[in-house]
Amino acid sequence: MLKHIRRELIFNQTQLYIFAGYILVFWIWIVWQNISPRISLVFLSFVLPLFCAASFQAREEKFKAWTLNCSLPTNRNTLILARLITSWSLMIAALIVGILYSALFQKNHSILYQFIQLKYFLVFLLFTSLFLVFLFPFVIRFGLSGVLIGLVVLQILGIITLVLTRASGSKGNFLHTMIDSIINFMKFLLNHPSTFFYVTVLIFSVAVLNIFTLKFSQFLFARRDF
Amino acid sequence: MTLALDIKKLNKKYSDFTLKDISLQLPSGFIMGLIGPNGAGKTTLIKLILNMTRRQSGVIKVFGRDNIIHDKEIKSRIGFVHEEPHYPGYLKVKEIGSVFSRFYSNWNKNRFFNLCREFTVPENKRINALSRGTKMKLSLALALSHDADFLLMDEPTTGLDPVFRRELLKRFSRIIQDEKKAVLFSTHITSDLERTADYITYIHQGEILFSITKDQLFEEWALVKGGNEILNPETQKLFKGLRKSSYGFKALTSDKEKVRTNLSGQNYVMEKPSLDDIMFLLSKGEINA
Repeated sequence: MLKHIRRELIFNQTQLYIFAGYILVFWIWIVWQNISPRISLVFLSFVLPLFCAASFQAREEKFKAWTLNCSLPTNRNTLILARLITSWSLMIAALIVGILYSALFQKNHSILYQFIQLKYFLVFLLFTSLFLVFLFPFVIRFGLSGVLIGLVVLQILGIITLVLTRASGSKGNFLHTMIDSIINFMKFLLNHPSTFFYVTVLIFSVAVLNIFTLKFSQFLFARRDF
Repeated sequence: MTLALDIKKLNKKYSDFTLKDISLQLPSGFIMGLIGPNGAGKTTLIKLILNMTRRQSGVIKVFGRDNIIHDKEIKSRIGFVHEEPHYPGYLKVKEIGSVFSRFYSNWNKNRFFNLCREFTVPENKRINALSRGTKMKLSLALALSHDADFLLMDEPTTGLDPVFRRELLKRFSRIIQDEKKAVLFSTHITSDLERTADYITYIHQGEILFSITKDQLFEEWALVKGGNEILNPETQKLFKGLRKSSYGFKALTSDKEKVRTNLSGQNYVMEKPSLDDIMFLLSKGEINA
């Protein structure tokens, strides 16, 4: 597996430099603006998978690297597993950079204190996994153009949702209820006491989501022709 | 005799193209040339052998093993050259060699750098600074650095100068001398095949028109030229790739004796065809089954 991760990192080295630069700026901005650690956690959970999955795919498409990768003596399932492990490694590395930055430069060390708590760390993993479960297979199947189209569609849906919500006025409509449910779910996850059962459920959910992401992506990738 | 490649009843369907009932065999110790017009299915066939494209039906065995079930093992024994080598442009030649080295247990680092020097591929140069021909040379160096048992190459001589091409073809001939290795390459340069190939496979619109030894091809096939008055529905059945003009006709036959018998006393000439003639007439002429 190490040789695959090495290949991923070498083949995507330009993206890695951009990623490293972006992460540094991101944490400086979070600390500078004194953004709430909870908001930064949610934000990070969405930005990191998007960056790892989509930007790597951009390199793939530019250099047709999948064609090269698939000609190497390895099977396709291993290629997808390597991509998922590399993405997670980078996301965890980005988090560690934030924790170190907080420890060194943040007066109240709020980011440091939050992320070194098991519950918050697991919630970060859960949010990230939730986003990844949609994004990762989508990128594998439809490529970068698919991601761009998907983002535009999501944006349009978001605008439509906003317009409909405002037009309907009442707080009790379906869309409002749905958005409230998502926010409440996030609050529930972040505020729930760290009982053994809760931590176990979080770990189990993260594992199940990632196994599903992996298996579904492998299923889709096995059906691609190069 | 061990078969390096054994394909039976292979089918692959796209919305606008179908590879139909492809069957061919390549014994170890031989070189096979794959020819055919653009879009005939050569690249698709090569990708199917390498399991980069999924087949609908049929069997592909490389050294007796199914190419899907034994995907990884087979690829480790194949030296592959893509028609357009795709490598991340910002990588240096030596870096791509380093990535490849981890995937092949037989990788020979010294051989790779020797080949780079021999092929004049600068190892410290970034790939996007290389010319098309040099990228192809790099691709060849990568394919030849792990002592592959089967070289599978899609137009490897395209973009290469004639001197290098000739050297490369000699190298292919040397590689198969131990009778354990085999080479399959597609090309449009028919002189390369005449010089090197033991077997010639002609593919046209997704179907194999013939896959025979070069000697057999030149012994059995002939180019027939004659006046149009010879042609009638019966005599036309004798020919493949018939091409008519106001001056007469040109056609191919794979049964010289039958033509001699049927056209005895008629005004025609029979010549040994070149591969160019065969390609041209089979691509442009009327093809009788």
